[in-house]
Amino acid sequence: MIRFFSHRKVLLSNLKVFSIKYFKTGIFKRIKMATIKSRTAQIREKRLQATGAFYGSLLSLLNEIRSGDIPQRIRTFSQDTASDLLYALQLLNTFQQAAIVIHGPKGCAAAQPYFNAGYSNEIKWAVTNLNERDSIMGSDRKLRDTILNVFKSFAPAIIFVFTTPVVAINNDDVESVVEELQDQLNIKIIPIYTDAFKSRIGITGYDLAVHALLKSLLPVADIDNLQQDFINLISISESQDDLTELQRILSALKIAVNIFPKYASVGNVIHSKHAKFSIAVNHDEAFYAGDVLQSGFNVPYHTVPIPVGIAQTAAWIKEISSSVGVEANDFIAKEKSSVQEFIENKKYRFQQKKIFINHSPSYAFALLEIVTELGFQVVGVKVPYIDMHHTEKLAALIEKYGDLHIIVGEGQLFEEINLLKKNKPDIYLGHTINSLAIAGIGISVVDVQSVSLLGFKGVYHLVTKLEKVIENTSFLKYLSQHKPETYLDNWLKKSANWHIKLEVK
Amino acid sequence: MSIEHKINQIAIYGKGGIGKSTTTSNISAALAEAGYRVIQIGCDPKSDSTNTLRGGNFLPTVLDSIRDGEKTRLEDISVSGFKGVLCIEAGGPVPGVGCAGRGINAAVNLLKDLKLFEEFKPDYVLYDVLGDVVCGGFAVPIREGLTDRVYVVSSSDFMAIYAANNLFKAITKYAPSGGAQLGGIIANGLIAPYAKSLVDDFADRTGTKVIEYIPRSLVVSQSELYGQTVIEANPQSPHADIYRKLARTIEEDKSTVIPKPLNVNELRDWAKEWGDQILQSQEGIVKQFEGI
Repeated sequence: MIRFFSHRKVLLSNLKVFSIKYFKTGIFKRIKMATIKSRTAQIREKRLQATGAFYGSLLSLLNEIRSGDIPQRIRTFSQDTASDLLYALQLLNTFQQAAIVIHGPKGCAAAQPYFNAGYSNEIKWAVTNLNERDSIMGSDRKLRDTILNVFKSFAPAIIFVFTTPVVAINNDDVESVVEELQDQLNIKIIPIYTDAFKSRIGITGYDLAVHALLKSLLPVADIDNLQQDFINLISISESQDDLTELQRILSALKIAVNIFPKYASVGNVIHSKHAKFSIAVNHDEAFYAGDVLQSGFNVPYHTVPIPVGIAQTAAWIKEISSSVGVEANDFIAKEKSSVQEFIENKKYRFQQKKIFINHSPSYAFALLEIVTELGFQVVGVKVPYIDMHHTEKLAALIEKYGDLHIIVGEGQLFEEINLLKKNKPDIYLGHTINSLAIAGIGISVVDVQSVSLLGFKGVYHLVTKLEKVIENTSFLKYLSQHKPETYLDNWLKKSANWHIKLEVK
Repeated sequence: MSIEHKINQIAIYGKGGIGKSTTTSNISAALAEAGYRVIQIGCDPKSDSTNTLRGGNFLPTVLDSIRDGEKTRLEDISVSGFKGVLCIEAGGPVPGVGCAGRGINAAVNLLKDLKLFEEFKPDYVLYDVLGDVVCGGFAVPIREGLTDRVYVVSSSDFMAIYAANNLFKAITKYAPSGGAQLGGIIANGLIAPYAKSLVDDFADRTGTKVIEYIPRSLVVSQSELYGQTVIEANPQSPHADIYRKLARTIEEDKSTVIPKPLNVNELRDWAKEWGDQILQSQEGIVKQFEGI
């Protein structure tokens, strides 16, 4: 649904004025050190003015962000969305030698087996299984017993205690239990205050987890300025395959790297304060950790675009290599030419094919550039949230491609099906959870979670996958003829933004 | 239970320390003395509502039994007090933890499960509820038709009036969906010369009525020190008769209203008006308290 508006020139002239002003003032809202001392991270709506509900043109969204006060919209009907608890669990399920205690009713732990299975069931976990009685009498005894049991049964090096809405509403005292047992058991026990309802932006959960981790493992008093010869690679949501490609690149350039907090150990986190500098895989997710290390431990945080696509991967490598003082031009040139040759031979397959993208903002914007370059026509972009950090990128995209329509929201399959039926893309590039319903209406689905998109190899993976789904359409045809409709006609007749309304306070 | 057996379910609210439990216990005692079967349920985490009815006998609270997690029987959480008044205390969590409001809800539900009313067949059930309506839990006795009538105990102190006004707001909120309505105000602990006029005026402004005036008296304090109600400790005293009269009013006058609570500004202005009048009266300007 990218619409190249006829009044593009007018829009662009407005943009330039804005862009110059904005770039000068800088777009990143820094995290003050006082923030990390606070009990928990601020929600993204407050810290970055993030919004999780928008439907309209990219330019109008940009203008809203630019105004400095993004209006908060709500969905009067919400089919599904992910809470901060899910995001925080997803991140810390990969932490080495850790155990997880979910402090709440057992339903709050429903997603934990899924995350755990995704990482070979390595994490030992328990839920405090709160009931009505606990909500009346307080739940500290159950929490204490559960932590003790987890410690005795699994002997973890670190225990994460995730709070849930019941604990938050009751204002149960988690801190005193944690402090008491931390002394008694002599291990780190870290409470993560995932209230799951204070923010509508699920990704806030990453900040809550990172905040708790750094606050506990990197006390500000421990600053020692003992810089060593490695860099921090801040990874929050990447898969092992994603990181393998980035490690391949950095290893080829002989750059030592400390990856955290994903797949990290306690040592990785503590070690991070000695790095030369930090760099993100995905700035949207990693900024919080990078900025805390910068403001609290004098470890500079370098902001670069996510290494998705040839140009952004090259920029990412250049930023690191030039900061470290390593020559990377030959490596980049060699890798680039190989990928470009591969792409050129495939481009003819994608000409005029229509594609819809659903991914987190940095990925979605990078994918938009790649697929457009491949010859696709982008008919729509959906991102789970947008915040003030995206201003620069939004402006650049409009400048390059003209205005386009964008939906902001996590989950909400009914909105997507509605749009997809109207815009009829050939390919849906998005998340697995909605694949079946979308394939059921005859659209080929490329599951982004099964494709490692990072680095130069990511481009190979993506192009190969796109080629594959364009070639193999028989199952899709069969499915669309036999699968019943997911939604009734009267749902689909409504506008896709029917339920997105401005919040009246 | 037969259809003919009508249970009068009454909630009594009021600011903490205003004499709510004393008043409720004396009403229970007077009703029991008149031959009715009465249950008094204390809905306050302090669990001291029925102290003077049961002569200080130990009574585990409903929430104590929920906390222990064992199967609860009615006889474990109730005790028979003066003239057979069945005393029950909802109780609450340890101060500073949990949620006392939700506790009231759970206690009331447990009493329903134990078929309290079917077993005891009371004529009157009196819920003595913690002062202000601080959250939904403490509004349970007036919600969902659990009680028929609500009375509020108030002195002429502004904070007591403020709490009463808040209760009126809760009644107004729940009344349209079957919640209880107001039977009236019980003016308690009246001592100042203007006290009666002030409470009357508040009742008038809010479209309610005062059903009894109970002056402050040493006989109440003395009875409490004995661990008894006035009806039991000083049955011949004029104060015992006031409580008997109050019980008769509750018995005979079943009329209720939906009060018209004052908003913040109205309440502030009203209080200021009275403040001015009291000051003037102390300065000797005699023109007010027409009701005295």
